[in-house]
Amino acid sequence: MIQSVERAARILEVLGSGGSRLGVTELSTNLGLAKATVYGLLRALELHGLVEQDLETGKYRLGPALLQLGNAYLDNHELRARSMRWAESLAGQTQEGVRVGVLAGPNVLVVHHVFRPDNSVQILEVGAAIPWHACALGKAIAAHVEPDRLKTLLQAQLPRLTGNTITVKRSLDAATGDSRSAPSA
Amino acid sequence: MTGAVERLLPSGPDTDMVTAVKEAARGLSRELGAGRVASAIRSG
Repeated sequence: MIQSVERAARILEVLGSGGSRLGVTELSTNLGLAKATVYGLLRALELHGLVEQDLETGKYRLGPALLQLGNAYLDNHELRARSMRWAESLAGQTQEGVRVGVLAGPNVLVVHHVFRPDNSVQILEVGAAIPWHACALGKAIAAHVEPDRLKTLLQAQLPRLTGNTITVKRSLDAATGDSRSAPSA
Repeated sequence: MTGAVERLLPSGPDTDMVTAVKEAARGLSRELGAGRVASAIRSG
């Protein structure tokens, strides 16, 4: 692995994980890297629009180039492209919202979202990353992955998001087993 | 499908809703090549 690229990726992950901007010192402490190293990486990332510096505070946040890259990811995503009309049709038929997602690490990444067709105010969830164990979509996907992958998912940390989140591994394994045994497409 | 559990499943799974989801999933799977691969295996 190329160390500088890996470190730059970690900077982007840290900036993307919280809501606030971070300065060189904060990033340095968070990542365990020398300030000069962090500063150099930030300058390179800034040059490519991947981070931007707030002129008043001097702190950094994610940059606009990431939005362009994110859109490119979606534009080239085959499942998203092919699911659009099916999702639209399903939403119209059931009068409910529809999400299409893929398993990305321990999360379900929503790649397409059709609003519930009732003119209510809703939030677009495309790009949302939901822990797999905390949503029905994640459990349905996990039910059909290879056994080794499911084992990895079950062995990872399973944070509780609501009072209903199942975090007991035995219960999750059973829930995915139920999805596997149910008649499916 | 996404929505409040109380609205989607007021008294357990809704047969019509389950059917609609299955049909959409089946159609999407076919578009992604699921049926074609199975046919190729059978004819190969």
